Amino acid sequence: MRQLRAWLSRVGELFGKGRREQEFSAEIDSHLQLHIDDNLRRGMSQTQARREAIMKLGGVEQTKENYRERRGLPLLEVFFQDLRFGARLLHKNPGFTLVAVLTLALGIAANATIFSFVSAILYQRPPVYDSDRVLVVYGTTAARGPGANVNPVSAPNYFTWKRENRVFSDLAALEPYISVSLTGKDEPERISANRATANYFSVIGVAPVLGRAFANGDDQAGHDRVVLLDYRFWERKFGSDPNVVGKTIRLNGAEHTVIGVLPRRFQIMSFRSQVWLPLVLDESQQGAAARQTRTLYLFARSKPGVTLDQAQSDLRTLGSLAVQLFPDTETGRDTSCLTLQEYIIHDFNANAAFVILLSAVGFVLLIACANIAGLLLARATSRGKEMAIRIAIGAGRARVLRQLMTEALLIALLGTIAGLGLALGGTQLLHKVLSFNEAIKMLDMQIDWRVLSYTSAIAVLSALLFGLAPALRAWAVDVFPTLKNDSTKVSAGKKKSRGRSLLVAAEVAMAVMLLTGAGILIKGFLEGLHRSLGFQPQHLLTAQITLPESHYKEPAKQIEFYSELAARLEAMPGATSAAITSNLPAAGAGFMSFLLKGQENLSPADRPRARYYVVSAHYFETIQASVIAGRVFAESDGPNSQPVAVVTEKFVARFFPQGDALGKQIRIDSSDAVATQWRQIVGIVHDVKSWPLNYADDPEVYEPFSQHPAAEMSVVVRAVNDANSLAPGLREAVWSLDRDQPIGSVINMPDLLGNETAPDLIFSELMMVFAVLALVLAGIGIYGLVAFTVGQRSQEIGIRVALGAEKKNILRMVLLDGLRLAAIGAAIGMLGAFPLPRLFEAALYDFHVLGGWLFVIVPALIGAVALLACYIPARRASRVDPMVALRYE
Amino acid sequence: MGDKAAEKRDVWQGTLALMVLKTLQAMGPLHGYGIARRIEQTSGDLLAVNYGTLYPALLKLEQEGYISSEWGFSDNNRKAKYYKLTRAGRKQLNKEEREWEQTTAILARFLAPGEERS
Repeated sequence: MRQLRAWLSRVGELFGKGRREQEFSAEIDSHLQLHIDDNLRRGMSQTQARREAIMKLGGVEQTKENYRERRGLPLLEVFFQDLRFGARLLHKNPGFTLVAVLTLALGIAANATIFSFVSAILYQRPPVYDSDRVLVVYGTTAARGPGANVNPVSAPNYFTWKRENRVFSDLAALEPYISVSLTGKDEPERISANRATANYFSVIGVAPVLGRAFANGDDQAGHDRVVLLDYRFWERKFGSDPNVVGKTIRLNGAEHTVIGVLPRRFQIMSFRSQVWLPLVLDESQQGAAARQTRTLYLFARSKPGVTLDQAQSDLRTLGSLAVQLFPDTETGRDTSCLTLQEYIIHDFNANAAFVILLSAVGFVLLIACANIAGLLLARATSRGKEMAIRIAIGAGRARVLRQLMTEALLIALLGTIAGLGLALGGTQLLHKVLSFNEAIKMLDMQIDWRVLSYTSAIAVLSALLFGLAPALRAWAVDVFPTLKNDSTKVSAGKKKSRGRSLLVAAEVAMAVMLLTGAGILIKGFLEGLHRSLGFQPQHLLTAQITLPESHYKEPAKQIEFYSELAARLEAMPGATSAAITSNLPAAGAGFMSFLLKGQENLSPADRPRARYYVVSAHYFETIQASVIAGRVFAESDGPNSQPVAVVTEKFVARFFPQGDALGKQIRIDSSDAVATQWRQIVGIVHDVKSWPLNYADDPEVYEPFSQHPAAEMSVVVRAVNDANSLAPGLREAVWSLDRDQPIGSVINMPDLLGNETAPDLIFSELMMVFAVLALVLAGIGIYGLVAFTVGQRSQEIGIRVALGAEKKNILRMVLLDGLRLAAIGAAIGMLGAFPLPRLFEAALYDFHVLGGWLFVIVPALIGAVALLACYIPARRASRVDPMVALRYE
Repeated sequence: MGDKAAEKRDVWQGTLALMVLKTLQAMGPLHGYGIARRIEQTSGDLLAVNYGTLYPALLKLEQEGYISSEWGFSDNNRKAKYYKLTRAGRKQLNKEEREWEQTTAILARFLAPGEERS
């Protein structure tokens, strides 16, 4: 209680300070007067009496200072006093303030922007009810690599697990990435669709904004002609019609009743589609084919109180049970689960990229801090006398330290405010640049409390970092020499300039590391990009076509349609050739396992795998992939002739090390009976990249379309000139064959490749931006420190010149001093950068790039910047007029 | 050196408060110089501390509400600030006196010569 009372009265004493100060002065005066009176009475002289009284008091000012410490709240008062003083200093040196604040603002802005992006991804709440209890159940295999360990599940396993598990209150299945044709409304159109079991929306806990979600029975065969609309699809196709529920649309030739519209922001992972249909599964299908059709994504709602660990261990039991019961199809497979949120992060597979980006901006901030520390250190040198005086007249060293730290915090505060302003623009820019990605487009990237607290934390940390050097310096001030010596000293001496040398070296080291890291990533991107695709993407037009089952169920009809289409496309004016393919080149065809003749008893899990394509006769000619040996497919490879296959060089190198692939027999595993027959390798073609940025080629195998037709295919047409000019002709050709046939995304090959490479390109560009920022900041930092040192040494230089040193000697001396530091820093930076290629290789999938010439170029670049940064002050030094320099002071 | 000074002052400040309160009880309202003189006289030469250290202690006691102050005139007509005990100060003094006596009694028993404890 007493303490509270005392504290309250101290708070009260914060006000009316002048009056209290006067009153205490008066009290001390009266004290002295009383004492002097006494002394006089004892017979001392006036001077003696006064002197004795003051001595006995212990000094007037000291007493006052002690008294002040007890009055009011000195800590707070001192803080405000320091703040005012700091603000005044900053105000009086606008140049210094501007440079320091801007430098820090750049560093803070880079960090805040990247962090807001990372935190938006890591902390996004999936748009579902009680998301912590929504789990994603997936299959795992022994395979390595991103995404490889998170696999969709087969229908038989779905039914078994749904029945046998003890941890979920319900389990739902989703089959994404299918497409259906929409007809009877404007032009026929291919639209994306997801199929989900009737309980899907109740499991994830999402209600439609209009109408109802799927209900029990909607996923029973014969009752499944209902459809839920995506919000944007509803806007686009129905003009946001509020009475859409109950209307019908024609999908795949059958009327479906619209039962509801999903919320605007409803998207989970990359599963956004225009319509949602019921998923009809047949539990009686338990054969090997059904077990190998793994297309389902399972979503569970865990029972209350069930932990993730319990759910995972229950699933492991179920997984091993499946292996025991069905060794043929389940061996080597297991199952597990993650919460939806963790799964989304896992699915994004960008953790390594996050770490790299955050480290890069961290380095930028460190360099910015080093710059500011340099500036403050330079100022501290010129303020040495001020500090010495402060200490001499009674300020404790801790007090001086506190004042310097307050100044640093003030700079940090201004820098953070400016930096957050920049970051506001930065996040918007980044969001715009990244919005080619649907999932990122949905993200809420903003400066929220997480970003604010992160930014404040790094700002305070920065202030401590750059405030440290000048503070240490003030701590070590020697009062007497500093006051006595004035500044007539000739040069600072080694010890004084050690801090600055350290800063220069550190800045160079950090810049070298950042530049090398960014360089390696960019080099990797360019190497991936410029490695030959294995085909000519220019002048290629592509399109997706899926024939509806209602009209084209028989393989013969599919062959008829596509052969006729290819012929009509080739006949178009401006087209040289056209072909049909199951997957476009460099668009990530899937892997398929196969058997070599003589190895029939290999279990499915041990069989060799290759990327698998089905292509029509003129495919290789159209994409202009070169033939190495044998022949490619021809019209003569019909449904009834000898089954054949074409493979790539890599395929031969991997599976026929002797190079004797031609004429050998292989059998590709497929659920489709037509395809599972032995086929002869008749030709070898040049490797075609499976993704545009791949560093290494995968083995690939091709089957002729006529021997393995399918309904869903892609079209490639080679144009003489502009591929896009063929687009109307392509549409006309399709519709001349079938008026109701929708056409999916007509796009030319270079654009398609561009979409694929965009994320890596942006990642590289971001790294480039940060690297350049680091280089510029480091350059400015070196310049500032060297220029300051030269200024400090102008008298020494003046003496040298007076004693006969030539201009070029002076120039060389200053240059060499600066460059020596840069060289030391560069060497340290190289040591730090040396393990980077291996680090990236471990962190990033499918990335192996060596530093190579980067380890020469980066130090050379830094050297050039350092040279420039030292040259300007060095030239100034060489022009020092000894008369002026020595007369000065 | 700074540390030692601070330590000494802490002990001083603690007992000083008690001495101030006791002085004000014995002498009635008194100014800072008077209090300092009185403490010095009572303690003999043992307390050779600067008078100045008295003022923060007075301020602390006033903040805690144990003493109050007002300006008045001294015997030889000098203006001076007079301190006097408040009611809370009197209570606090009683309490601290008791505590002090207890402490010294305990210490005395420890320090008494020839009395070995079994």
